[in-house]
Amino acid sequence: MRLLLSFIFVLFLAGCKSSPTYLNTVQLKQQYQTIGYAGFYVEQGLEAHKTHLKSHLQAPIKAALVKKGFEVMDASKVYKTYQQLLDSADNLYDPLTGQENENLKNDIWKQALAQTKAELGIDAFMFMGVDVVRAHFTHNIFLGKVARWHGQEESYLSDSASTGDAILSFMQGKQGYVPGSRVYIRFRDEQNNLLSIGAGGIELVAQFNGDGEIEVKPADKIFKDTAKFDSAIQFALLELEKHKGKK
Amino acid sequence: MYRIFLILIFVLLTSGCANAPKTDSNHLATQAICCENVTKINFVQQNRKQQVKYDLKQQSVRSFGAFNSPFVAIEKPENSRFVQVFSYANGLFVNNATFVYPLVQVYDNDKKLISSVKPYEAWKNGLPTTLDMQGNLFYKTQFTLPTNAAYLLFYVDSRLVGESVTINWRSNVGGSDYRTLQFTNYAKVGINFL
Repeated sequence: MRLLLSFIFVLFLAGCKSSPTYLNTVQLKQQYQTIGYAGFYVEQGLEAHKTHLKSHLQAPIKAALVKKGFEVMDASKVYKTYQQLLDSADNLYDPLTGQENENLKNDIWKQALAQTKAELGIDAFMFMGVDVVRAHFTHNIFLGKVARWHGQEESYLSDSASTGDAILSFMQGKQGYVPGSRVYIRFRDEQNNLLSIGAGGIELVAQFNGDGEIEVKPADKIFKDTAKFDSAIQFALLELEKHKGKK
Repeated sequence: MYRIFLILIFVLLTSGCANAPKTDSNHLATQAICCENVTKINFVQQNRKQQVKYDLKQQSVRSFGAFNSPFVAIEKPENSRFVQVFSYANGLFVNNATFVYPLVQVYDNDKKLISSVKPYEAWKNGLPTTLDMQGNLFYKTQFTLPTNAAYLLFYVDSRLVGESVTINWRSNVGGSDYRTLQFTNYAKVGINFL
């Protein structure tokens, strides 16, 4: 009976949710062939790795998109335009309370996108970078002790913990998530609408240690396996390709 | 007993999933439009520092250019420079709660439109919400009024009906999590002049 109840619950929850529809690579190329590349960004906390990540991810992704038939141009000037518009904006902050007007700021960002698009003659913008998302795991005999996210999988137990029987039995039957890094490619139009996104998991940034506590990977041990960058790029491109697309 | 329980759950879930924003939107579409001429609107008076709640479903509907919306017309109390709007969430469960994104039209003494303002908080960035002592979930925003403001029309952005907005949900029993609420065009709003 409980199973039936759960089934009904899931059915209704699923019925309520509608997932966003993104353009796939073919549709994207048909409608937005000339892409303005705005820049490479990393999430707070990963700044120390930015140069390393950029050197391994930026050029191959751009090359892969060119190979697929896109024309990729530099559109980093969008940030300069944005800053100029911000500097000249009135009432960005409430004169009495000092509160920032987010709506106005967003409008100015859209203005910067539109202005840059017109100046460069591009169709859409591309934003690329590395951020951190949840990598889910369920520890059982079928799924093992790996966390999965955006095509990637990795043991959620650190090297020191993997061999300890105590932690393995402690985790048995448990589920949860650990933070995993991913490379993302986002396409936006001049209205800042998200046209499409592709993301590929790179590497976990933290794992459980032998005491069952989350431990951040030391800076000298993360992002060393360059093969993971290649697979992340492939996962991201595949995700882009696989969107059902807008009809 | 079990069967009744099942039916109850079924009804609860279907009512929760009944897409209230769509129902509200359909209801709004059938309402008569009034009050095109602002000079003929009856603006009610309200004291400062006193929150008054309005049920938008009981209010008249007016056209605001691209869309229609229920509205509340209030004469600004003297010496008031700020107005807070409390947008209360509809629904029993946070999982399918809905609320409105308030907008304000500001008129001068001659009932001439001075400005149309929207909250500083951009809804796409997620909105800050609060749970009061009675367990009511609300989003509060504050508008700074121009010095020559005299009459105000509070209404909602009906174009956003059905859009999802993220909130950082703090439950009564502790902890917090991101949840998704939907915009609709009917809810209770509290208005408080400072």
